[in-house]
Amino acid sequence: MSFETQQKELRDLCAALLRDGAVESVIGFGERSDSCCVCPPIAAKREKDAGKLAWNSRCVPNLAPYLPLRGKTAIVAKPCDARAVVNLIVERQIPRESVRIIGMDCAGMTGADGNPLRACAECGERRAPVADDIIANEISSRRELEDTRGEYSAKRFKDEMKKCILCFSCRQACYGCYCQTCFADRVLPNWQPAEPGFGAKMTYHLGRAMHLAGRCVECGACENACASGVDVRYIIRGVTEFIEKEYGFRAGIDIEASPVMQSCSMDDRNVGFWGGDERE
Amino acid sequence: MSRSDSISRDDLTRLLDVLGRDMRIAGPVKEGRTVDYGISSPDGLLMDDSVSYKSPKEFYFPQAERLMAFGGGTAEEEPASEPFLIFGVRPCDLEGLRILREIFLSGGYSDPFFRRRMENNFIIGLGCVERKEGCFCDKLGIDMRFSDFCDIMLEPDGESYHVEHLSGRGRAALAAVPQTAGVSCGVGRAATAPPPALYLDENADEQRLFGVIDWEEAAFPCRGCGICTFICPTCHCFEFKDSGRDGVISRYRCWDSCMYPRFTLHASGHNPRSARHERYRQRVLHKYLYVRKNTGYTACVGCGRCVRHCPAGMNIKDVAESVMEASR
Amino acid sequence: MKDNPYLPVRARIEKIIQETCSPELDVKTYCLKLADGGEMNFLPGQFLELSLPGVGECPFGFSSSPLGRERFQLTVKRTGKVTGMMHSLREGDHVWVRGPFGNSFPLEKMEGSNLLFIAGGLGLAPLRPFILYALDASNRSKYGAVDMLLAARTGGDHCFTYEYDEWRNKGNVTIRLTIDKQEPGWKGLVGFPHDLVRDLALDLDALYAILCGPPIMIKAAQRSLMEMGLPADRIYTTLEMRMTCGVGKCGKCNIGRRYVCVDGPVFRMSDLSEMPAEY
Repeated sequence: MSFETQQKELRDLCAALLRDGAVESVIGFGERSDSCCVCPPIAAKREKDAGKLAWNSRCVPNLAPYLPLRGKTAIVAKPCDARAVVNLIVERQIPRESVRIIGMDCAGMTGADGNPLRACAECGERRAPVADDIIANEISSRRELEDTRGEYSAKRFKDEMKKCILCFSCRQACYGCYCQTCFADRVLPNWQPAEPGFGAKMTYHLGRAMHLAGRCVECGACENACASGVDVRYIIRGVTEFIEKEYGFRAGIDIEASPVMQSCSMDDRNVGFWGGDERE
Repeated sequence: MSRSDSISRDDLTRLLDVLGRDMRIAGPVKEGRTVDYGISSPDGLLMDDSVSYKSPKEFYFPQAERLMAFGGGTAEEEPASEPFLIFGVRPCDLEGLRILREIFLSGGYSDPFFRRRMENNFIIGLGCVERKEGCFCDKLGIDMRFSDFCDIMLEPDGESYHVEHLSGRGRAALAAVPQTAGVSCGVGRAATAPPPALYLDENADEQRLFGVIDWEEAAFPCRGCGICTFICPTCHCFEFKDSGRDGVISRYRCWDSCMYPRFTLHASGHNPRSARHERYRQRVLHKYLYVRKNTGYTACVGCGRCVRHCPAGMNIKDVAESVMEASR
Repeated sequence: MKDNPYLPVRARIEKIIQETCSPELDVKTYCLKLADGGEMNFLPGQFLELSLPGVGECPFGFSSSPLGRERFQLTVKRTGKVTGMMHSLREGDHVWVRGPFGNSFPLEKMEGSNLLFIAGGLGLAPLRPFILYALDASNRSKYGAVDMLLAARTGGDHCFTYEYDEWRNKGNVTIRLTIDKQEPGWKGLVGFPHDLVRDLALDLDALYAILCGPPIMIKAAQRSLMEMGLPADRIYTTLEMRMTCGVGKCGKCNIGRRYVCVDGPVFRMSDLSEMPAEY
């Protein structure tokens, strides 16, 4: 099995879905226009468009933010894309019946230089946790997972922030940043000073990380979108690890789940506030 | 033995050392995994063929720049900032600066902040050896090895550089440094690039171009993140923001982006470009048609940055080409 | 301002007139005077940029007569951040202004013709300098009949009502007021300008129409006028965009190759119809 056979299987499936009217459109990846580009998301609406769907090592973008389209929509989903779709369903952003998840078994995507993307190098998910179809691929060589977390420190955070130019691309690429008006864009009150200084960057990145608590699916779209090379994922990963440790919750795995930060139980440990454990 | 119009890398570093006494030196530097323009000592500058992910426009038109402070009775203009020596500016970016100069300094009003930096900054251009992935300066009629819109132009020639001075200041700078005083610059080299192959007819009907391609389909991948406008050498839209500190209220000019929905949002809620494809169309046609109609320049220099860095794999070259094809 | 078009100067609020006051439409007119005693030499149709330090800057069309240069007026609807703060200011407070910017109505070209002003809501404010100019005793003979069709959402939403009698007394001036829906006690017209304009007896050969209002009103009214036979080069309007810099640099008011702040805000409909309808 290879990308080519998966791609053929994907095109056949999507052609059939569009022909039979099972879906109105398929959100997938198109052919890239240049070797340095990622595969651009496209919406296939007619049977013949299925032939334009690509599946290769540069299918980098997370496609979940392109939902919803009008009518029932199939989505070509890497495991991380599928998790994003599942969490959108969990958060009642899209109805389950409006979307057909085509799970693509995935060994990870690569950058323009051919090396695995950092998020992919650390990712152990090979198959979508929830899917309506699976385009299988026996991933032959199971890569050793890398751990590039390093330490969480104020110094490292500051170093990362030096590179940030506050363009907000990470937010736009993120499936979870679907607020109509982001707090960072608000005029009343205005949270962002004029200069893109450390304070503005900290407000934005930490604010965004908190908003993504229990919602990040570790797809790396934020980091892949960042032209400045900021390790955006690092900032959120600490929050994600905390949620997993404290609540045993990973976003986008269970379609029946309740959003972890929107539900509480009497058994929840009182962590994070008033010194947490010490009061117990 | 080097040619009389060439300088070695060591002599170039010496030249930068001398010039750096009067000016802050900026140039391509390695920042983690990326190459960016940064303030650096001469030995920290990248002198190879690597290209920064951002354009050098920030040294003329910073991302956030204080314009003035509200005083008791009058607005106090921000004094001129210290000049920069900007090293390693690629021909595409030099042409980008030429276009920015046209936009900021012509058209009835001249922007004083941009003008002062044009007068005070010193640019050393650096020709490219190889075309990078995503680059298409050749299609815009730009010579990747040479541009005359700088004070000194360097063209890599093996381990040394072919050097040319293109302004009085450039000549004086070379003459002032013993190691470079002797180089006899063959001033007069003209850019050699074929005429632009990618352009829109400047008489094209604006409304017609709204319909020649399916803009909605072309813009489908766009997330509206605006990184293309931040890293672009010719994007120049801005907004004002006020900021208070220590009891003084200052007005800043900050980069804005036509890709943001709030860019054109009226206070009433009305938005003339409310759909994403309308905003993407604005970016493409502003570069390829509107600026051309007003100044004669296509405001895209084919630097390839937006192609390389678009998180959604969009390619302005392909879109502009399809508009050109369809509007014939 | 000298060579820096971005630097504002201080102006004192001499007087505030409450024009309308409903939760949906709270409009005040501010009479301003430059703090340094200078004159504001503007032409009808031009605008200025008004700053409240720390809050922001917004473009406003002048709403007063261009003939009284020591004082000038702006008419402001409470809408957003700057206008909200503006409404909390009192007489004697200061604001900052820079301008005037933009082009103006072709006053001389329109001499000898009849004028039809169609305004929707606050759209009357940027037309008022032209109206006051044309009705001024020194200019009244230069123009023929002056018709006004002034629309507002409700009867209480018309601005400058305190002046209408004076305007009518200038001779050969007709003012028609209209509202969207009939309400008790309303004696004027009911309906939208693009419908009502068809009922007016107009000499189309000697007419210039000047429109201002919400974009949808402008688009509908100009269509009616053109269907009635008024050539597009005799219809003028003034556009509103987010003019940030006022000097054609910032790109916010860019429509096609034009910049509303320098190529406008006054546009001839024959030019506007060539532009993308992104306003």
